[in-house]
Amino acid sequence: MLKVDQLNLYYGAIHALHDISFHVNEGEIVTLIGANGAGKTSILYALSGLIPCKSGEIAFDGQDIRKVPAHQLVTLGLVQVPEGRRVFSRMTVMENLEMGAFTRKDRQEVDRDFYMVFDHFPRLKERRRQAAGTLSGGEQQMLAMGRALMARPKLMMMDEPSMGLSPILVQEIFAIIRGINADGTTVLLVEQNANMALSIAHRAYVLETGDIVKDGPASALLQDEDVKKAYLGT
Amino acid sequence: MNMKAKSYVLNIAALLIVYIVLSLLISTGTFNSYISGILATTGIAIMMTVSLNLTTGLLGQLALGHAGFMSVGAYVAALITKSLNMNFGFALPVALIAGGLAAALCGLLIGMPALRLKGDYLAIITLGFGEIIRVVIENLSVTGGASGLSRITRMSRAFSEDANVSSAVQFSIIFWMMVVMIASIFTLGRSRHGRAIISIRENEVAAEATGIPTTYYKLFAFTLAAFFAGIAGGLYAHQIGMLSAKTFGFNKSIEYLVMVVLGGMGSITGSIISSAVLVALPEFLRGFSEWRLVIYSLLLILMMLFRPSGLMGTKEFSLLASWTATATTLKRWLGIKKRPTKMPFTPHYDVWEDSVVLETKNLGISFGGLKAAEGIDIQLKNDEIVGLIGPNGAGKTTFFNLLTGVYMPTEGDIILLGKPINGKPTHLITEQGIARTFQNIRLFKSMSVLDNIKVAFHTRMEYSPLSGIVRDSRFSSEEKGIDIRARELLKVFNMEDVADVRADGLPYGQQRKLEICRALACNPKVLLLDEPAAGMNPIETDELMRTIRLIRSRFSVAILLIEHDMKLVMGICERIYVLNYGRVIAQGSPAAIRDNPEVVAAYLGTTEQAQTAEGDLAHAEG
Amino acid sequence: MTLFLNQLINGLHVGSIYALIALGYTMVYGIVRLINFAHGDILMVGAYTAVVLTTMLGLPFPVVVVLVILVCVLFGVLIERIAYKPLRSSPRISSLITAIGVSMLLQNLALLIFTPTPKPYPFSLNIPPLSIGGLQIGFTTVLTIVVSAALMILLQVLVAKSRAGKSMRAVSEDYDAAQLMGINVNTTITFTFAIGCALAGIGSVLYGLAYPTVSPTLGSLPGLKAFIAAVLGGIGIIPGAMLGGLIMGLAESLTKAYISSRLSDAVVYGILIVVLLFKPSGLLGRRTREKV
Repeated sequence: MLKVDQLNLYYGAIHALHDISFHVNEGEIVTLIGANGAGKTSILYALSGLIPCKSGEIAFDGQDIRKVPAHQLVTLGLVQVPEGRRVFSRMTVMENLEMGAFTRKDRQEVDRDFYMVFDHFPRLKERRRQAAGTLSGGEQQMLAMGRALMARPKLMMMDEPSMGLSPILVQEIFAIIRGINADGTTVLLVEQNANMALSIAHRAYVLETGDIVKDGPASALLQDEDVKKAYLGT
Repeated sequence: MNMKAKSYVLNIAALLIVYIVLSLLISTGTFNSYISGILATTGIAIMMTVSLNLTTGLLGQLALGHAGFMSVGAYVAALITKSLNMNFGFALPVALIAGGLAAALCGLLIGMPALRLKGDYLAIITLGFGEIIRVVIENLSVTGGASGLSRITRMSRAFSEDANVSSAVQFSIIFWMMVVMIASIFTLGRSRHGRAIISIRENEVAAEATGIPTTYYKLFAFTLAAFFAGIAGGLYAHQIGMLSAKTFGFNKSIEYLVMVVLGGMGSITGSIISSAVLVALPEFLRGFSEWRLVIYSLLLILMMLFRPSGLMGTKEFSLLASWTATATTLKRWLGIKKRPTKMPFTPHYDVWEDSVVLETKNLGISFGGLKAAEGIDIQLKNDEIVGLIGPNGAGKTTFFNLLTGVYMPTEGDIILLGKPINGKPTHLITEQGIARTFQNIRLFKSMSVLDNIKVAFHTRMEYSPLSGIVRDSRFSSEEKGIDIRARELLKVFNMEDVADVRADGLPYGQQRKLEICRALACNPKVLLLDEPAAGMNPIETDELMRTIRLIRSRFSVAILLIEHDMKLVMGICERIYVLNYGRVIAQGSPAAIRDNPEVVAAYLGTTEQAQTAEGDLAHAEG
Repeated sequence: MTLFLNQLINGLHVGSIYALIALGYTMVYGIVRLINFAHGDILMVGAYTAVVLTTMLGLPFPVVVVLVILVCVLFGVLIERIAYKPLRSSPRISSLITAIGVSMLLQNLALLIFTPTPKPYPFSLNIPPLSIGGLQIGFTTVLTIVVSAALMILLQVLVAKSRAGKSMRAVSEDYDAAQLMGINVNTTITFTFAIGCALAGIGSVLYGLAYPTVSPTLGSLPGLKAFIAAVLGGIGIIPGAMLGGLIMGLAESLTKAYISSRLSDAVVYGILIVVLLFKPSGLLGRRTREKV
């Protein structure tokens, strides 16, 4: 579904990503793990067209999307839940969800999707008239995910969904990610919490200072001695 | 002769050569009165720009009413020389100082209410005050009303029968006052007071939490800038010879602001260059005068488009050196002997033996009737590591904000070392022994790692702003002392190699460590860590645990930490408090908390759930 | 009493014009966090456009009004694209200085082209005033108040309900997140400038009808006052701009009538300062507190 080939990215003079290549198959959960500053968020930003990349190819559903402007990627089905939720805090929960469906023209389907989102996140339904800024961190994460779902993504990219959440919420969010995937959405997941990410993903790539150093089935990486030592801790 | 001494000599020589050449050209009449007038105007513009840079560049607050202070200085000085029946040579200094003081007073009165606002709002309110000053002057009879003041003694006429000589005297006065003003802003910027001012620009919340009385320093910088602008105004009045309030409107303030920005905010040498160029440029363009302002404004736009950080950015051309040298020489001439070098100043660290260091009693706060925290009773003993956990939105950070005086409790007491501290401002609480870090790291980003630490020593240093400006022995011994101390502290955390790196150049984990290190430099009895492991991977978290253990073994401090990473919390905390809906729902040892059913239900979640999830996945893959 | 009522109506008249201009400041500030100092000068551009179109081409009033609005929109959009867009990620003070530069450029170009000698505004509406009781209310006054009120309501509905309005609100909160929703940030910002400048174009016609002299610095004073009005009401808030504009107009005309015409500016700034000190986010603004 997504194929990234030899991607290079620079911030000014800093070479942030070196020849990154990876792919995501339809129906998978793929996770990118790695230390802070390894370039995980940069990859997602490049995929979403928010930062330009120097060279390389990004193909989504067989189409070259490197030159497609950021706001058109959503129509193609490539949607991101950014790090730190980034909900529109002065808008209500409902309005945030509407923004997620901004590019869609099928009004009736959109109305039906509100119920789909509320099914996944019953708590959002209770708070649908509240301003998003008044929600707690966990609820905001749910809203950000629900907002992305409203775009009917084929591939949903999630950046650090567990950041700053309590253990019980982390479990809940990860269960929901599995549910979304089970409903047919492909997921590309960037996570600091490598244990959790590997436990729900099918495959994983390990990123170190702008290079992919390892990849394989998530269950294998979970047992890999190097990965254990470098990312899972003792 | 070492590098430093060489650079002093070079700078002083350059200054003297510029001065001698220009004053010779003026006194011999090679430069006519028109050119010497431009030079004087340039000098005054430089004073205005450099002083505005104190507020805008160093303090980081946008002010749009600087010309207002200039007009106060100008009118006061002019009225004094007009009414004093005294030799002009004596009257002028009195008038200039009085003008400066009057402007400073206005700055103080305006700053007190206005500086509570920030950013664009501060800009607008200073604009409003500037315009009010103008309207008031226009309507007072003593200032000549709308027609203004005229027949003010002009410096270019008053000192000698020979107009050239008199112009040369005027140039000397303006030149040397300008040099003194620039040099003092320069040295002040590099003293503990300057660090305090810059730390406010970098992150006001963190500055206050590091013990800097931010309100005081904002007012100090603002008032000092007004004082300098007042003096420049006094000089202006006696250069031009007549005053009209209209001259000092909004446009004048904007003109100086443009000079600051073009030169580079925070760069004093940049200000000097840009004001010189911008005053001179329109004069050179006078030939085709109708195009003059069009070109001027186009240049402004293009400059911003292609070099938005200004000519110099925040870089400086070194002048500091020459100032120190002058001060030393002056002292030698005046027979002031250097006091015998004392031991370098040593900030002291307290070791507190008492058991309970921090205690809250029935602490609570409500926002608009909504109780965010209530009935919290917590005790911290010296050398203890205590965890504070709870669901998102349970009030953990609110509790930290109560302890550090960011919020005022609506009920209950906070007792630090036996004394209640509720209601005190944050910087005093920090001084008395509670230091903190923040969820989203708040460093003084563009300052060096070492300077970040030095800001935290501020409250335990004593030298005055004046000492900072003239760099006396007190200044040097204290600065030497804290330099040693700050480096020692960095060494404890293996950060001595990065002492001169800009704080935002550090990798994430190191930034967290620096923030903790800065908090420790405040000499706290209680250290509050707000989600120190947020955004860290397990390996970085392990490193953080080692750092926290190191703190406990090397410093006499109690640690209270908020964290969601259970490995860290369970791994290093001796006791844990659990908060839910603003109340303590459980406390005890990690083992007891782990098995507490209420905590499991509200916060930890069942381990079974996680296991089932893994089982499902294995099943799905199989 | 009649004097008082007359001043009140005068104040509403001027205030409505301030409000229209303030809307442009507030919308632009809301979306790009920029005090667009050149906004007042768009008013001047509009006024000179009217002069040129009438004296040189002899076009009739309604056509001129439409063209004035179009020219103002064109100027606003060009300024945004050329001068502000490249600076979007620079420190905010850089764009502020650029805005000042653009304002100076427009004024000085006008000075160069049209000379400093004021020109008469080419239209006046010779429609007899309405008399209510003992009061005479000029037709222009009624027109101004009605047009501004209608435009404000229209704008409020547009921002709250329409798709474009929602994308404006989303962009004003978070550029990146808005892009991730599929919103074209550039188009949205340009659209905002266009609306603001269209309002300024209408404002310039109404201003011209009220004060029929056109000079290169025509825009700076009403611009400054409209900006203060926007801050007074709460910058970024549309009803706030309207409220702020009306307060400014009333304060100005009442001070002129009862205190002193020379002090009217001081009173206006005084009100601004008092409001900012007691309610820094403006009369209708919500208080935002930096989260620690």
